[in-house]
Amino acid sequence: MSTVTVSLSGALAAVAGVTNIEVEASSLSEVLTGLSTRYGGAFNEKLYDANGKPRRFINIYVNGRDYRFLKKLDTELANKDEVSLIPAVSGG
Amino acid sequence: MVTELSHQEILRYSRHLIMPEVGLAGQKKLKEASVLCIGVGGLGSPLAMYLAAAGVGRIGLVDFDVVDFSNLQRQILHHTADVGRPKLESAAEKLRAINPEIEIVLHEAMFSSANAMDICRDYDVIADGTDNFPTRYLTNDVCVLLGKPNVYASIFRFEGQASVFHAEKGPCYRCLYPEPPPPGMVPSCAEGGVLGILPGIMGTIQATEVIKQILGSGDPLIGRLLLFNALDMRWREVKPMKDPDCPICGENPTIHELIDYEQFCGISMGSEEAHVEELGADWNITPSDLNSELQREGKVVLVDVREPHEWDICHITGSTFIPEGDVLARMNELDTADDIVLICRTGIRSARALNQLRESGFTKLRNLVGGLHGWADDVDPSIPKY
Repeated sequence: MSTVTVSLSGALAAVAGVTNIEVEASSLSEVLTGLSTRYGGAFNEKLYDANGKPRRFINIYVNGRDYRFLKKLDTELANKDEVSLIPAVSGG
Repeated sequence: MVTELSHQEILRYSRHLIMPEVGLAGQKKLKEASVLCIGVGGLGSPLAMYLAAAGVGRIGLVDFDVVDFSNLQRQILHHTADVGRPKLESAAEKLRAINPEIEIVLHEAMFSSANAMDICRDYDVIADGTDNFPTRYLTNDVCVLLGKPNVYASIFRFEGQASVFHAEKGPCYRCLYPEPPPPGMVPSCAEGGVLGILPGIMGTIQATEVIKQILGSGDPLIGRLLLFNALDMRWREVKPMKDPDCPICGENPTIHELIDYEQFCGISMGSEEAHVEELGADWNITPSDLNSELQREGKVVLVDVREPHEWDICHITGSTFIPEGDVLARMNELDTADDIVLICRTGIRSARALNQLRESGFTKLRNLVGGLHGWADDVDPSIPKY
């Protein structure tokens, strides 16, 4: 297990009520599971689509790199890694 | 044609001219350049003001809205006396006052698939200051199809994002966000609020990137998504990648022309009003009909589903307060035998709450059409609109 810093923004931060938290996890999927357990229903509804996959309007970055171009949810994490969950926002 | 600067322009732009990174050559590039600002609201205000002051030779503005009181907290191009005027008229007046040396071109129309290509074609750089997902995807697709840089920013509450999408050199908006959020999943500024200064910061970032695009100098925000949080007062940066499977700029594109963006974003009526329409007349009640029912002393239970800080601004005396997010958990506080009227600010969240209760077995439900705004207009002017 590694201690990972997670940054939430936009609609996800609004439902979780926090922007920065620390999570114990060794992979990206464990981070998301940890967040789901911690923040529950409304958070999960925003994060996951009907098939249980992260919604496409939410970008996930590990140390600033898009998880789709790493090992997706299997991306392994080390101590002090930074995970960012960034939903699209449209305001102007 | 050789671009020259007049003595007056040399004086006006002297702080640019004495920096070798801009200099006379750079200032002439700015004078020769054309930039289209889509939207002259929160982001568009500082963006257009700084571009005008910087001496961008031709600035196009697209908007069809009129100035509203609720715009004034952040849309600094528009003043109190402008309320009710077309935004373009108000914006053009201020920009010409800032810099009469430049040309301001007005496109007073809703930016749409029908006019977007024709409007954008004549500009070097496009700046996206719109406020909704359909127009963001439209702006992206126009820029990809025309090969133009799209200088992007967007805002939500205390947070801003900025990037430059230029498909020939990096990812486009669709590479980041292949699909829009389902309607209602991400609140707009009108629903979620926005700190007034935030578009000032992010619109100024946009203006900076536009000027860098024109000058061809510096390290642009291409392939970089800049994130700002005003509460944390922290900037972060992530590196979006060009998606080889992107439907418009990928290796095998499937989008070759503009599409129906409202349909793409799952919006059939321009906004969430669709939610209310879908309810049908039987589930709606107008403010004056509700007032009549209350006068007749029939037992009507009013349930206000807004948030606590909104309840503090105003509410109808005697109403019960259950925020939308708590409706299902607290529905045991309501009686299925009662006539229940659901209330929010404009009638959209209450329509959603009505659907939740209907799916849970409640049948004697109605939605206050127009919400508290409608109530203030038609019944009780002592209720403030916000």
